[in-house]
Amino acid sequence: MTESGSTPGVEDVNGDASSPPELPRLVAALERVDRWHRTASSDLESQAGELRDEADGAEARIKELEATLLELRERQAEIEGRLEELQELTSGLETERAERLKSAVVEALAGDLAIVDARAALLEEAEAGRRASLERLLEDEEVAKLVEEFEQFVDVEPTLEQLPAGYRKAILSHHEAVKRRLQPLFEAIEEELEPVDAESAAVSILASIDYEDGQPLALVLILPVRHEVYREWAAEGDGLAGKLGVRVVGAVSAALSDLSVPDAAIRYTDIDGQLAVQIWLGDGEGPSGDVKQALHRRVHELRSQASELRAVRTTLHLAWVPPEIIEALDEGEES
Amino acid sequence: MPGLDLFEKLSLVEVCSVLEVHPFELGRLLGAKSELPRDLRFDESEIGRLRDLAGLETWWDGGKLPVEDSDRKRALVRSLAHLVVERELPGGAPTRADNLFRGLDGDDAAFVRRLVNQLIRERMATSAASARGLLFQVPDDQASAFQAIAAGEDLPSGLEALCR
Repeated sequence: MTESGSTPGVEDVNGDASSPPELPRLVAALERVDRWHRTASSDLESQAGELRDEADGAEARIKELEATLLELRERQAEIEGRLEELQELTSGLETERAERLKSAVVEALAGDLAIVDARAALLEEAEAGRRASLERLLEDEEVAKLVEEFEQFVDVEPTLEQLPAGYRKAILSHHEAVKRRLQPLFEAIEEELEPVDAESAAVSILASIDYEDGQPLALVLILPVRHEVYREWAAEGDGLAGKLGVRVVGAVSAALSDLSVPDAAIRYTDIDGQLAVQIWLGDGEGPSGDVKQALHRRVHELRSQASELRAVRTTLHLAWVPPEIIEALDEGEES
Repeated sequence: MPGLDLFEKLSLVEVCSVLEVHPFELGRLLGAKSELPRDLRFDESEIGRLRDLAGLETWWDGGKLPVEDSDRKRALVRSLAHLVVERELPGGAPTRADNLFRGLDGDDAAFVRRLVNQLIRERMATSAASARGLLFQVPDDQASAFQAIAAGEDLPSGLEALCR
């Protein structure tokens, strides 16, 4: 008989309390089942407890992670807000950069224009100096006499054929002698201008290329030359600005030949009061080489070849800018 | 004292005035051949060569028009058509567009300039950019149209409108 009372048992109807009773086989079996059940229940209870503890731990961890997630979301929102502010600032910065760039370009162009205008007066001085030195040569009585003879020959030259061969030969022979003696004068006429006494100066040609699908479509140059110089060429063409314009057009033309597009269309326009040269490169197969390099090479050559620029100690440089700057200058002109 | 004028070279503007071209045109032509002089002065003897290099021709001599008409503008149209045929432009080599009015003055030059543009719009001629400036070319199949205009036949409507 068990004490639990919960286990089925058998009453000992013949029992004697002084001696331990012999358990019947059934009771022993029931007790074994009872012990197994208690052990198994206890194990399961223990396992359930462990699982409940683990579940509680997981719940606590979830709460922690949820709290972290919330913090991270708040941080993310904060960062995104800051990013938006930065993007606005960046956009503003780009706008300001474009405005500053345009102002800098406008200012530099005006400065270069002023340099060219100022150096134009120096060129006139240099040309006057060359003419004065030639006139000094003519002040020499002998030279003056020879020049007079030369002029007389030019007057009679068309009639020489009518003269007898002997006279003609004698006159031509004398004329050759006069020419030989006038050689210093001829050499002086051929001499390049003497550089003026001034500090060297550099001016820029603003240059830009428009590309489409990686191919150059148009080249635009803005010269440190007023547009009137192009329009009023008869009055302005022999000045420094007019010559500078011709030099640049010559360099562009040479570069176009180098690039196998010698017939590219060229237009001369007014951008913000200054002379712009627009070259269309979009026809046919386009340029056969690098447009920037070709132009650089030809402008570099120009520096050593243009005697008027050397005389006024002025060098030309190419300054490349994005097409937006040219557009902004052009729009500025329209507004 | 004798002067220097006899010896002095011609300036850029002086040469261009003689040739009737813009200095930038000369700059482009000489630049393409790397022949721009170091001091941009020219001997008078170079003018002929520069004229040939630029393809300059003087189509009008300033005298009587080659084809007469009671209306001055129609006379210019017919005369230009005559010159186009005479100079064998149809099917031939192109010429500078400004050759077609070089030698004319004032209103006549302005009218022929518009006429040249109208001929291009009417597709009686084509134009092409070149280092020598805008070129004017007449397709071979337009020869009869120019001959008819020169001969006094009715003008195409676009040219007739230009004369009004």
